[in-house]
Amino acid sequence: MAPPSKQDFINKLRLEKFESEQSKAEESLALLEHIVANASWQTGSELLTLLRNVDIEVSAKLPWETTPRNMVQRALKIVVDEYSSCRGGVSDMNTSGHPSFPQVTMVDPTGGVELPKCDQALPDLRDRVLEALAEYRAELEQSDELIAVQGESKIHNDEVILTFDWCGLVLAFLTRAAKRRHFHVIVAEGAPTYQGHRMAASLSRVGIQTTLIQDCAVFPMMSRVNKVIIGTHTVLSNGGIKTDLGAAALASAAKFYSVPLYVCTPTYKFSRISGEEVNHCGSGSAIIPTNTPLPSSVNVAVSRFDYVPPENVTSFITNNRGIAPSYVYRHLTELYDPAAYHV
Amino acid sequence: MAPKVEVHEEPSVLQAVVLTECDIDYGAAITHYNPKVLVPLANTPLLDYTLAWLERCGVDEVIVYCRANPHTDKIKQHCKRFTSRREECGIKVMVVVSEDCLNLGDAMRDLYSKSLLKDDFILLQGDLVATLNLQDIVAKHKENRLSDKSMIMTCVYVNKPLETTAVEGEEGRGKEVTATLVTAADTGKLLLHRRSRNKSSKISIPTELFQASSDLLTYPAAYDPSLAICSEVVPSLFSDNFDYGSRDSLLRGVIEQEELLGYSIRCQVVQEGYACRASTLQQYQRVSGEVMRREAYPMVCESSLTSHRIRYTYDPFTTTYWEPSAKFTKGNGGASEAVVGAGTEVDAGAILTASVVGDHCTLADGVIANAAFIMNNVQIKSGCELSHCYIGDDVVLEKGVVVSSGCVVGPGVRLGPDVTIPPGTQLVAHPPHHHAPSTHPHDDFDETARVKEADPSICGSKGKAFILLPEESDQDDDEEEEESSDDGRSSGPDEGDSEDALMMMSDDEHSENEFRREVQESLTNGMRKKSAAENMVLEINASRHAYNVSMEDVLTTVTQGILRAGQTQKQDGSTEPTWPGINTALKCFADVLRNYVRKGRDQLLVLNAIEKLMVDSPEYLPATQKILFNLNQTFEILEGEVIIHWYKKGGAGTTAFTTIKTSIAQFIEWLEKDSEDEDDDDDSDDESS
Repeated sequence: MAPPSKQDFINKLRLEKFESEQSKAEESLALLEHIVANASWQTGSELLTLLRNVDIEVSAKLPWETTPRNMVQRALKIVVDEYSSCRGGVSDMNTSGHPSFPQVTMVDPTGGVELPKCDQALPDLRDRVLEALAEYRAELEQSDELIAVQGESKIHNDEVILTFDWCGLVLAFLTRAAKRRHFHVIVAEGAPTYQGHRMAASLSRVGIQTTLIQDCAVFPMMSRVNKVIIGTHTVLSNGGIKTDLGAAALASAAKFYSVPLYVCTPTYKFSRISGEEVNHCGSGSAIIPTNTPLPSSVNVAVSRFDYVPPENVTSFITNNRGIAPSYVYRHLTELYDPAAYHV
Repeated sequence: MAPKVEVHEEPSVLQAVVLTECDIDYGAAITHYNPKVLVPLANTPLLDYTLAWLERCGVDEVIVYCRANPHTDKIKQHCKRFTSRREECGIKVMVVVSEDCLNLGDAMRDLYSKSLLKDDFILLQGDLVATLNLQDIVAKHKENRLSDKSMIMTCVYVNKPLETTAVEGEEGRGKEVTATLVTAADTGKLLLHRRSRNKSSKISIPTELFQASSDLLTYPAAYDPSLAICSEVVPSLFSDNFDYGSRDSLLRGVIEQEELLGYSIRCQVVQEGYACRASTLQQYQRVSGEVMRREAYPMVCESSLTSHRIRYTYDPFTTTYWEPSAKFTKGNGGASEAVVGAGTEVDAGAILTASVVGDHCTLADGVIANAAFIMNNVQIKSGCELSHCYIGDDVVLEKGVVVSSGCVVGPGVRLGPDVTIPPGTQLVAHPPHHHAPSTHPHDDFDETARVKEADPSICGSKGKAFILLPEESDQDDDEEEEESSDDGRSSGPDEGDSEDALMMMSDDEHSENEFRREVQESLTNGMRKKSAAENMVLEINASRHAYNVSMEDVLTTVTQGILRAGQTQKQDGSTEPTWPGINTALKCFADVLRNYVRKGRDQLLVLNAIEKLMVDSPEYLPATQKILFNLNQTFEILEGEVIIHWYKKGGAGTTAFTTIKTSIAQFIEWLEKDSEDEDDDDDSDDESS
């Protein structure tokens, strides 16, 4: 296999060649590892700049792709941590944790982002960062499995579960639960991509009783549903989620009927971007069948993502633990370095 | 074996040839300053759309083909800039410049002689904006080619509803860019290709098409994006036939001479995806609107096709795009469908609809722009009204200028105040050149010596503009007429073809005689040397190409030539043809003749040829019956039924027929009996089964 290059990776992202967010995460991690291992850098700061360039490039070209950016942020955090512990080992000037980095960094929202200063050239930094990244890779690779095993404990017998669109993670979650439990799944079809059809087919193949409904029919169905379990594209910093179109209506209906809504998500989908500002707009041809005579004066607007506010989300099922939306901000500070904010 | 084949296939690169010299351009007021393919559409040069699409479809190498002219360097630089962004993993773009390339045929011939094309390649025009799934199309082409070696080209058409092909106020749209297709339903083989000229609701389909296949699929008006997947045979075919100028003439040639060339063309009519050529200014306007409405997704205005960065902010509710540095208020005065470039100031009182504004322009209060395409550094002062027009770089419009539809305002023009430009005017900043309309812009120095004062009645008191000279506009008119009356795209080359045809007519007879002589020689030689049939066919075909003789004449000549060859063989003393000589000739060339006799009609031609031979040389008469008998029974070239049919219809109606009639009456009688017997047999077979 050819060594991963930034250009290749971004081209692949741009041409939508990745099957899932998981593969995006794995491939971006491979790219970052490649940069750490092979790029020429001396000091920690140089490495941080190299890594952040990936983030900047992705955000300039494909701002809606959050997973690779999260991976970069995570790598930055790892580098900063390793650097400080490394330095702590070399010179015991700073024994009290890492005082060279103030915990609260003032970030100028208009200007460029200050990266933490890691000016010393530390010989074993490269190895230690690679080691930490490999550890992270292991965590990444088993995150799906860690979520799926929680299936049994979250679902009880004879429950009615509502899900939406295609999500490999939710499928694995439900499949695992179906080994011990007997329940009924209702799938909303997820127009206009109709990936819900695929979801329904996969569910019924593993022996789960499945009903397929239209997206707009979630409200009348909701009264008999016990739980809503969906996947997501991104978890936003305020605890809301950005996911496939139709989820907001689904979440509102769940809220109305006080049905708990669980979001299955690995931690790499936790993003620092806040709010719903980044919406990726698609083309009208996605919803208008070809050869429909539609006058050009009709404005067709198609958006790709939906925003579910935090108050409509009950809990996130992650590979670490269950996380409440109001707790997401805390989780973010654990995952990412506060100074690596990218506004 | 299988893995070996894979190894072979792996290094194959997918090539595309992009022609930048499109057959129709936008008129000198634009193309004098900028090549057509670099004219920005929604602030992105047209060529970028083509290149980005090809890149997206996994094309490895693009050959940008252009004619040597002042713009060549611009195209080269542009391509360099495009690829330099992509480092080593992007597509390779190669600019090929030729001195004398007038049409597609010349380009193909040139590329063939430079042997730049290795395998199947994609042939397209540089003004195409498309999102078709090229990978599928190419895969299907390759698959078809594996199963049918004679298939040399796949033409791609888009099935669009007629409603969208006719945009309001644009008459000529449908004609030039659509084609009437008749294809075999099962294979997709193209049987008839015709530029739809008239608006009548009837299509005439030659009846012989129904003989070949039972299911025909007809597309009355398929949109033609001039896109084709060609095999390596196509350029060689172009270089063998110098009269092929455009793709249309190739199509016609291959379809008409299918038996002779042994090639066929398929077509794929694509339902999914978007494809449209910005071939004329009307089309440019249409494509621009469609790109703004995101029909060419994922090629959308807000992301740059060169760097892939998100360059514009997009508001889906008003379909407006603006660069963050532009002073433009969202939902500006009911603005809808607008693109506003960097550093441009649009006053809150200006109304933009379906318009594109380039970088660093100023649009003052009260400007109304409807379908106006405004390039860079343009100043438009208050009260101006623009509709359906093109405004070049650095134009200044003073207060109250009205630019009517179809106008082209060339770069650097000043207009106003308070003038109205009549529809369809082309304005340029410098007096148009008399002698060389397409000279360098630098030559303006000479021009300043005999510069004429700009006419204030046209361009206003502060204005500086010249209407493009009548000669040139005449030319443009002609071109437009051609576009509307002729079959548009291919009008130029086609005309050439018909002229050629006329020339052919005048020395038709001469060439026919020459051809006859040559064929006779080949046959005589062939008989002496006992050449193989395929070599004979090759020789005859070569002569045929050299003299451009129709298929029917070839058959007639070959038939008569074979019979004559029998005569000359025995000639040494007496000229009288004898049956044994004819018989050996027939035996010798039965395969040659069989090669040319494909359909029932061809058999009739053979019979007619024999009859005509009798007119010229009645000494063959006694042998007629034996000739026919052998052709029918021994060689099975002529079917009994056809002979009977021919006999009953009275042959070719020449004077010789009456004598032939008597001499072969016996044979016919026998044939009739024979066929009746067969019929009976058939009947009994049918009954038994």
